[in-house]
Amino acid sequence: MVHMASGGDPRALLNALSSMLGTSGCIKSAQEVVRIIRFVTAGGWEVLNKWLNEAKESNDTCLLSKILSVLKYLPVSVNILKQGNAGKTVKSLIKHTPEVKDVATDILEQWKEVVRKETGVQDTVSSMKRKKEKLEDDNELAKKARNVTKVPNSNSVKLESPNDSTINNNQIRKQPVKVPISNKAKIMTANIPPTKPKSTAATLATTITDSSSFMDALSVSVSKKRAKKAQLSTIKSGQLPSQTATSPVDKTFPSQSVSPDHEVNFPTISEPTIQPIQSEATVEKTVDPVDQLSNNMKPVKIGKKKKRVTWASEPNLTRFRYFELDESERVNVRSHSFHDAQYMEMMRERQTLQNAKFQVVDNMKETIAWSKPALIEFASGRGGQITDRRVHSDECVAQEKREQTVLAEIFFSKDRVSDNPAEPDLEDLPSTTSSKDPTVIPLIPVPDPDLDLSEAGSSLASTDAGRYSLPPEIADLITSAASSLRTHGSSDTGAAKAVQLAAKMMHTGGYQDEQYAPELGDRVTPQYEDEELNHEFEEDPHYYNYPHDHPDQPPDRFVGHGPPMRGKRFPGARGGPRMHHWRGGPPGPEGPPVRGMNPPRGPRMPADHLDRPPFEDEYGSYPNEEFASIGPAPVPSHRGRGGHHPRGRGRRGGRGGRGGGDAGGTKTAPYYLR
Amino acid sequence: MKKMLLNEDTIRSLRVAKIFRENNDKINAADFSKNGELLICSSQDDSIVIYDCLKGTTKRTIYSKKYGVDHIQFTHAPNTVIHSSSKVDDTIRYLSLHDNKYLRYFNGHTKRVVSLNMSPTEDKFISTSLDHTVRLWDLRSPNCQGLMHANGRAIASFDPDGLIFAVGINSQQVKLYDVRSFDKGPFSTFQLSEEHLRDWTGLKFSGDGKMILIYSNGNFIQLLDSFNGDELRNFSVHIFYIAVSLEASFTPDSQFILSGSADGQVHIWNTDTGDKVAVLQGHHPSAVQCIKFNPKYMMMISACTNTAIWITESNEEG
Repeated sequence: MVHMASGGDPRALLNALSSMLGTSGCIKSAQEVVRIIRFVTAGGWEVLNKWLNEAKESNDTCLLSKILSVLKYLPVSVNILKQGNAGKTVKSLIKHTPEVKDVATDILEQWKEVVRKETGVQDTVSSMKRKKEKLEDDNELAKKARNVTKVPNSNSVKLESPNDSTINNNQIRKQPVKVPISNKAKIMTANIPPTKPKSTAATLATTITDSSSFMDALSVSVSKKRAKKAQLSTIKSGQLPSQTATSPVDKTFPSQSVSPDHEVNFPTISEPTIQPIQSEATVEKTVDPVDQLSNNMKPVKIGKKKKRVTWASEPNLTRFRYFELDESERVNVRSHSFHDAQYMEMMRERQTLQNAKFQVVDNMKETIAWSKPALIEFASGRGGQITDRRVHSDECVAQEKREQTVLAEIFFSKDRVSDNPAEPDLEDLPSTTSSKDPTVIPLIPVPDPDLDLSEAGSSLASTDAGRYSLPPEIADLITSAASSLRTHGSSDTGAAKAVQLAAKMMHTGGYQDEQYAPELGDRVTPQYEDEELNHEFEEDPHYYNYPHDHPDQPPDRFVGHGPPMRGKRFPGARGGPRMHHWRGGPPGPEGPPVRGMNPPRGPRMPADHLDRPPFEDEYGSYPNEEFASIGPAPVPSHRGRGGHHPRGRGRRGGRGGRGGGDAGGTKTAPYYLR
Repeated sequence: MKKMLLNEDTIRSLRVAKIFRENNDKINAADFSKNGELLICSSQDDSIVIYDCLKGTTKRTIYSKKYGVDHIQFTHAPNTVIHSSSKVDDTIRYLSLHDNKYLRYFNGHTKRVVSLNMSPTEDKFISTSLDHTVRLWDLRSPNCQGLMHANGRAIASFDPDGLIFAVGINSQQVKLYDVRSFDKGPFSTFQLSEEHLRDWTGLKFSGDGKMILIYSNGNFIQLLDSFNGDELRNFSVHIFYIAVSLEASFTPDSQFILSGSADGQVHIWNTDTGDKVAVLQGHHPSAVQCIKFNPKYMMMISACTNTAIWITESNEEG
C-alpha cells in the first residue's frame, strides 16, 4: 500500500498506482480494486484533493488532467466526497480550464450519479420519477453545452403534482418508516458521523432548492446539524423538517424522500446486496462501477449542482384545485353588478348620513296627555270673526262634485301608498286662454295721464243701470257723452271737472257699482311717479270738492266711499263687489276674473250690510276723529288731515267703510298712534 | 264644546302632547285646514302627512316622490291642497287628497318657489320665486293671471280679507296691491330701513289685517303696521344666525307672535306690548322651521323633523 506524503510527486503516485492499472488506465483486477479502495480510504483522497487544489492554483493543466483522470476512476462514495472540496474544485475546473473540461464534466456526472443513488432513489415513486427523469435527460443533453448539470431530485420535486404527492405520502406513511430512521441515525452517528447525514441533507436541499452552491454549502458546512434536525423532526412528525418547509407540497414530499432513502441506503452500506438501488438506477450508466465495488464501500459519485431552469411537462402545466362551493357564501358577489353595488353603497352612505343627522339627541317627550283641544274663545275686540270670512270658491264646489263621482283612494297602510299622485287630466284649454299672456303687475303705480273717460262714462252708465235699470241705449248715450266731453275738454282741468261731474253723478247713484269707483278715483288724481307730486295733488282741495254724503243715501253706504275718490283703488271701494258675491246674484262667470265689466250682477240688496260681519267689533277700538273723517266725514276734514300717508288713510277709509256707519265719531286714537 | 280664552296665561300653559316622527327630513311647511281639524305637513323627504287635530293622530300619508313637496297649503275645499315642487321643475301643483290625484299644474316659474299663499276668500293664489317674479294665479285656470318682474327676491301674501296682496321685494320694500286692480300698480309702498342685512323669507298678515309680519333668515322678525308701514316691533329670536328660514306666525287673534328658534324652543311675544310672553321648551332636536297656531282650537304645532302638537294642560277634563 502506498502512503503518500502530502506534497509528494504526483508521478510517484501514478507510478505507485500503475501496477494496479492496465495500459489504458483501467483497473486490472478485482484485487486491484480492493487496493484502490484502500488507497482512497487510507488518505489518498486527501492527497489527491490537495494536489488538485495546487494544480488548479498554479494552473498546471497537465497535472490537472492527470489528477482528474485518476479521480475519474477512483471509486467514491458520498462519504468520501464529503471529505475535502474535490467536487467544488472539479466544478470550477469545468468553467475555468477548457483543457480539462470534458474530463471534469464526466467526473462530475459520475459523482452526481453516486450522490443521487445514495440519497434520492426511492422505490415507491420510482415509476413516476423515472419518466420525468427521462424527460430531463433530454433537457440535459441540450443543456450540457452550457455546462448545466443535472440535479436529479429537484426536478422530480418541482414537477410533483399535488395529487402525486398526496398519494405518495399516503403510501409512504403506511410503511414502517420511523424505526429504520432511528436505527440509521444511530449507525450514522456511531460509525461515520460526518458523512452519513449528508445524504439526508443533500436530499432535503435538492427537494427545496435548485441551487447547487447552496447544496454544496449545506453539504460542506452545516450538513451535520441539518441532518440531525431533519431526523429529529422526521422522527417526531414523520414529515419534513419544519425549517425547510415553505409550502404544503414541499412539506409532504421530503418526508417521503427522506425516509425511504435511509431504508434503501443502509442496506447498501451494511450489506453487499444493493438490489433496490440497482433496480432504481438502471438508467444510469454510473451504476456499473458501483456494482463492481466491494461490499464495504459503496462507490458514489457526487456532482456539484448548478442553477437550472426546468419546465413542467405538458400535463403538469395545468393544475386543478377543487373546492366545495358553499352556495351561500358567494351570493353577494355574484348577484350584483357593479352598478348595483355602487347604488347599494350610495344608499348605505345615505342611510349613515341620515342616522348621523338623527344622532342629534332627540329627547323630545310628550309632557302632557292628549286630550281634545278646546276651542279658542277670543278675547273681546280680537278678531273672532276672522276665520268666518265668506269664501267664494268655485273650485270648492267643483271638488265636492268630483268627490261624488270619483272613488276615493283607498289605502291600507303607509307603505302601500303610491309614490306619486296620479297625473292630472289633460285639459282642453281654449286656445285663446292658453296663449294669453298674464297681466303685468307693475312695480310702481301706473301713471294714467290719458284719462279714459269713455270708461268712466260706461261705468256711470252701468252704475245708473244698477240702480235705475237704465236701458243699455241710455247707458251708451251717457258713454258717448262722456267721451265727447273728453274730446272737448282736452286740458287737465277740463277733464278733471268732467270727472268731478261724473263723480257727483256716481255718488248720487250710490255707487251702484263700486268697482269702478277706484278707477274714477284714479282719474281724479293724476298719477305721477313722483310720490311727492301725487301727494300734492291729493292734498289739493280742488279734487275733494265733491259731496261725500248724500241725504238720499243711508250713511253707512257711503262710509268708505269717500276716500277712494281721492286715494285711488283703495279697498274701501271693494266692499261693493264683494257684497255682490256674497249677497247678490250668482257669482260671476267662470274663468279668470277680469277686472271690471263683470256683467250682470244680481240685483242689489239694500240690506246687505246688515248681515255682514260686524266690523264694528274689529275696528271698534279705533275711533275717532281720524276715522270720522275717513268715513262719511265732510270734505273739510279731508283737507285738514296730515298728508304723510295719504294712501294709508285711504285704505283705512275703506276699512272703516266696511265697518259700517258707526265708525265715525266716538273713537280714540288709532292703533298705530297709541 | 269647551271654550278657552286665549291669553297670556293659556298660551304659557301650552305643552307638547303629541310628537310625530313620521318624517326623516325637515318639514318645510305646515297648514291647518280652515276649520282647524286637519293639519297637513310637507317634508323635504317628499311626503305629505295629514294629521287629525281633534284626535291627535296621523290620518294619512301621501308621497310625491317625483316632484317633491314644499309650501303645502289647503285650498278652500277640505280635500284639496296646492304645493310647490322641489324636483323636476318649479311648477305649482293642485292636488286632490280625496283620490290622490293632481288636478292641475300651474307652470310658469323657472326657479324654486319661495312663497305660496292662497287667497283666504277666493280661488286665487300668489306665488313668488327665486326667478324674481311674482305670479298671481287662479285655481280654475292653469294660466298665470298676473306677473310681476320684481328685480329681486320677492315674497307675497294675501291679507285675511283677500282684497289686498302684499309683496315684499328685495328685503327692503313692501308693496300693497289691490287684488282686483293689481294692474294699476301698488297703492302703497313701504320702504323699510335697510339696516338689517338679511333675506326676507316670509310675510304674513295678522288675522285682523292690521299688521304685517316679516320673518327672515336672519335673527329678526319685523312687525309692520299694514296701513302705513310703520315698523311697530322688531323681535330678535334666534340665538345665532342660521341660514335657514324659521317661520313666525300670529295667533289667530293677532295677539301673539310665535316663532321657533334654532335650538328647538318656541318664543312667544305679545304684539301689543312687544314683550316676550313665554319661551316654551320643545326640545326639538333641530331648528323649529314651522310653527303655526290652529285657527279654531287651542293648539299649536311646531316642526323640525318631528312634528309636535301643543295643547293646554288645563283642558284635560274636556
